[in-house]
Amino acid sequence: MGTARAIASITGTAIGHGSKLLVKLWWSLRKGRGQVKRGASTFYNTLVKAGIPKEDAKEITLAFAAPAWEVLSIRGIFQMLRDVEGVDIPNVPFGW
Amino acid sequence: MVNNQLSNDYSDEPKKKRKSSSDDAEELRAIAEALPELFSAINTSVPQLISNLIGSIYSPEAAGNIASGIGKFYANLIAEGIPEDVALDMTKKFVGALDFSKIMTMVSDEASVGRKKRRQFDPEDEYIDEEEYE
Repeated sequence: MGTARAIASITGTAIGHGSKLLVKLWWSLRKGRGQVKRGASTFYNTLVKAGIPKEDAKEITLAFAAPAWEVLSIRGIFQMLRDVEGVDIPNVPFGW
Repeated sequence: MVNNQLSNDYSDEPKKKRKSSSDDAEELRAIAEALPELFSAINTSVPQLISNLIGSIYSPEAAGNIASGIGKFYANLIAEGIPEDVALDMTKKFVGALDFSKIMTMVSDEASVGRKKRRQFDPEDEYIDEEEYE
């Protein structure tokens, strides 16, 4: 494989697999948001069953769901990956 | 003699250039071969990480368990004769002290530590640099 072919292969792989990764990421974020919605709904119903007034139960449920909502965005995921121990991703492209 | 030496130096240069360009080509070839594997590993691990992270706290079962704990806390306060508004205030403070964002961070940190441990004790993995984990 010559240099030009290798560069073409790297570019093609980056574009193809990168797009696939983005689609998969977007799909899993969508799925995660759905799971958070279902979990929050169960959380709210359980609180109301325990006798907590609806308004307060809603407030508590929002406090419960907010951190997950923050994480479940592209920016949140990259922030989380950056925070994972041992991963060193520069904040600015190419370390400028 | 000096001329001869000079001509030898000049004749070595294209060889060096040729060697470095062939090294570059080999490196590029290695990258091109490794890249699909790397991408497929990321493709499987990142969605799994997200779903496990969310599932550990926000699955209906886990959320129901947390809510029933909070509900029991509130019910016990009422049963002990604490006025309803004070009990509600205490319950909100209790939920505020739980700090779910901190729990999420803890879970993701644990996941990364767990992955490191699994990598460390995998006997078939040849690419682990043991000094990295000491």
